[in-house]
Amino acid sequence: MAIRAYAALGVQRAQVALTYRLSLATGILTGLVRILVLYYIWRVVYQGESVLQGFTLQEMTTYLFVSFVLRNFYSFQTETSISSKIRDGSVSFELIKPLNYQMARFAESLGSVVVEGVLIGIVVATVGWIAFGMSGPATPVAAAAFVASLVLSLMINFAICFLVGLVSFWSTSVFGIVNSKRLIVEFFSGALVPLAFFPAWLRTIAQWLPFRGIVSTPVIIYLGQVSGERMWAELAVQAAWIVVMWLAGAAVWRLATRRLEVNGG
Amino acid sequence: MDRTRPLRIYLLRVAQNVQAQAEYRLDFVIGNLATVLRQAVGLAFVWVIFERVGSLGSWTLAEVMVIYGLAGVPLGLFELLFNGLWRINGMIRLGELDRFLHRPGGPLLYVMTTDSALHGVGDLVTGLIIFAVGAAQVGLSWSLGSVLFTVGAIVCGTVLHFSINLISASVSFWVVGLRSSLMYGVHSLSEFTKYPLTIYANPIQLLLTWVVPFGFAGFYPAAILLDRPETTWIATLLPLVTGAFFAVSLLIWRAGLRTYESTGS
Repeated sequence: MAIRAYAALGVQRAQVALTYRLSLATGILTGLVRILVLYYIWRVVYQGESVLQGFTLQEMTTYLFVSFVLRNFYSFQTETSISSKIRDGSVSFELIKPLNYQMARFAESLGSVVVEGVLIGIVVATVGWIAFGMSGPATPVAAAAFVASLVLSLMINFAICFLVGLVSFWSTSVFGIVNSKRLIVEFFSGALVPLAFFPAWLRTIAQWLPFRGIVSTPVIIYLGQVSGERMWAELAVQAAWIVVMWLAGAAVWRLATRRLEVNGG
Repeated sequence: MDRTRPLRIYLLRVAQNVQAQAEYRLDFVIGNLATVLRQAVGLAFVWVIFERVGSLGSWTLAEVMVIYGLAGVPLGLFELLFNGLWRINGMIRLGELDRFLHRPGGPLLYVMTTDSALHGVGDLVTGLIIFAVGAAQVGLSWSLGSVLFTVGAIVCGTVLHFSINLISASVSFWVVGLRSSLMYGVHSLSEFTKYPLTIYANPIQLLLTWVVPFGFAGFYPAAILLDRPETTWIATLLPLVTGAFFAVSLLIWRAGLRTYESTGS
């Protein structure tokens, strides 16, 4: 029965996401501006070069578009929906529902992701293919693994959003915190520059953080830069991070609700 | 009426905003942390690229820093001084503009001071630091003239941000359903001008010079300071373009106000 309740939450959130089409559309357009900026910077960088750090200009263009979609599967709204429930106090209603809070929020985020992600994906892929010669997945295997990696990316992204959202139990500065988190993710996930371009020490740091599972891993699988055993290893790393972050989220949630009960008692 | 009265009202309202937000000291710190991070991530991106390729077309890292920094300062000043413009759409939609219509000094004075984003301080300070470091590395020789020019360029850039945002916000008088999305979209174009304008395709350069002239709020004055001959003649138009856009933005705002009053909504 619980599954039906979670599914209902997801469907409801998808409907909400659909009603904000216009602001979503402008969000995509604004995002395209950013892709364009990066695209032109890379074009200048590639003047007189054919391959840099294992990327051709076409691969770099593909990287830009695919990473943009991955980065924006979660809109700002979805990210803050976890914390806004806590801020306005409606979290207390959630506590009396016979649902796991973390699972329920995950179901909701999947609902909005299906709408927002698919829309963003279609628009960006169309523009990328038609206007910028972005290429498709390297091989059929890469395509299948990319889909798997994409799902894992969503789950890592959610687990991190959930953890950060819980901060609002302790602080009112959610906007600044969520923004700071977004920027850290943007850099260390490889959404801005592929990790291969990082200096060695910075790449080592990025390697040991969970964020690269959000963007870098799926994209390099898409491009066919990792395959075979290494590809499976990358997928396993993503899965391991999901387990770790999910458990961390559950632990912090327990800690936070204990505090909530003390305050309200 | 006392000529300085509008200015006093303005300063009083900004002071009020600052005072109100000073209540939340942690919000201020974290909000600024996010803006500083944004600048840092943007700069880290440039730095990673330069680590690999040494230059961006004909521009050195230090030169890009001068442009990047000089573009950040007017943005920070705009957020700090006129951030209330972001609320115009909401005020029109909800009829909240009414209460400002008959106050001394005119409604715009009150609208632009409904918010002062203290996180603008982060943009302002990091912009100045990046600019100063870049300028020192380029070896700019400072004279009274070039200092005055830089200050003038920052003032013009801030006025340009004000004018462009006022124009795109005023569209809401005629198309309320847009929410703030048009404003966000137009505003996001300023992203281009943190980097040398000459790296972009011609249509983008023309757009950012003549239609949405963010190019003058950073790039062109920086090019003059850096003594780059290819853009100097356009750069000399800075005061003209600023004045023209300022005048046009006020005209559009007034025209919008007239339609607002006549519908009496």
